[in-house]
Amino acid sequence: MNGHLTEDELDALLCGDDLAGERADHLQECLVCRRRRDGFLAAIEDAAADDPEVPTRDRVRRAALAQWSGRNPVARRWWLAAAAAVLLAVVLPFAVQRAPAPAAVDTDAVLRQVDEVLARDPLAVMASDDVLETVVPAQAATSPGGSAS
Amino acid sequence: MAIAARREWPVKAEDENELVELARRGDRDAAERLLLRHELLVFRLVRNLLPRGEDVESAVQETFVRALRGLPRFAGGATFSSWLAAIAVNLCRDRLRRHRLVPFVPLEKSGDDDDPGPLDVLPAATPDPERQAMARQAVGRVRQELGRLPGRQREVFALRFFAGLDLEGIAAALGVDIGTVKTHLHRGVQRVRRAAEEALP
Repeated sequence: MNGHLTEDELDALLCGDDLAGERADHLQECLVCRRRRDGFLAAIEDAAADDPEVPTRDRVRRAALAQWSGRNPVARRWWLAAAAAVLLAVVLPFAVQRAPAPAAVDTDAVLRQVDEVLARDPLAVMASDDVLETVVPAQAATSPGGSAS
Repeated sequence: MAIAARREWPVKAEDENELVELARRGDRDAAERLLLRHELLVFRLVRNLLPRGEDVESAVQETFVRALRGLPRFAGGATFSSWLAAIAVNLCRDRLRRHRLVPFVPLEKSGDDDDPGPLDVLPAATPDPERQAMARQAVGRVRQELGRLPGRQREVFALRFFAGLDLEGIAAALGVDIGTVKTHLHRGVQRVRRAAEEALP
């Protein structure tokens, strides 16, 4: 076959298929066939040529990145961990300083105070023994406050 | 120190899988590098799949966001470019469906808008004015015919000639076999080439 490339051969060539030996040779030598191939490719190239300007591309890319990092779970986890660490660093020293030290209770002194109060209370004599026994069991008779009964 | 090292790193060995892995872990620099590499592919695809006048920038931005959010699902079986192209194609399909848009491209510029018509895109470098006019017309015919192709043919054609994917990449992006890609590509090329040739000497 010595004629020009058929429509099918040309389409197959443009789709990426290889031509058989002598057809490939023909293409090498034939200006008409090469112009048909190259004319199409040039039109495609020109159709693809109006790419956006760099500032437009930058703007779109950065907007997408900002939108992504705002809701990116990994980034959010890091952000939350960092916020928690800062919060702990700020609050912890205050919390430690303000916590009251546990005071030791001197139970004997407390009991002595209670007895003194009871001793000064004139109504204490009116309290029955069983009330006293309930309030101050066992020690009611012996403690200083117990003398009121 | 760590930041400086990280910023130096992509200049040399930019293994795409590594960039994907870093971006997956939330590395913004790696994500930006990935987008930089493939943004023209997405712009060209979206511009040629959506009708003129549609908001190409917002479609590209949404494609990027979908891709970055979907990185944990990127298995690595396909190349990143065909995966990204698949996202762009799906997004364009959604928009076309949602707005019932017809990807028709008028041959002449519509009038008072600033957007150049298909005939205005050729640089004025071609020496012969007659040839230049014919070349412009061919570009216009290519776009017009592309807009008239059935959906799948148009997608295959755009993925091949505007996004530069090979047949395997197109098959992966569209989830079809290579035979199907070849069939659609052949039909698309047949129509677009004939339309372009009508405008060429």
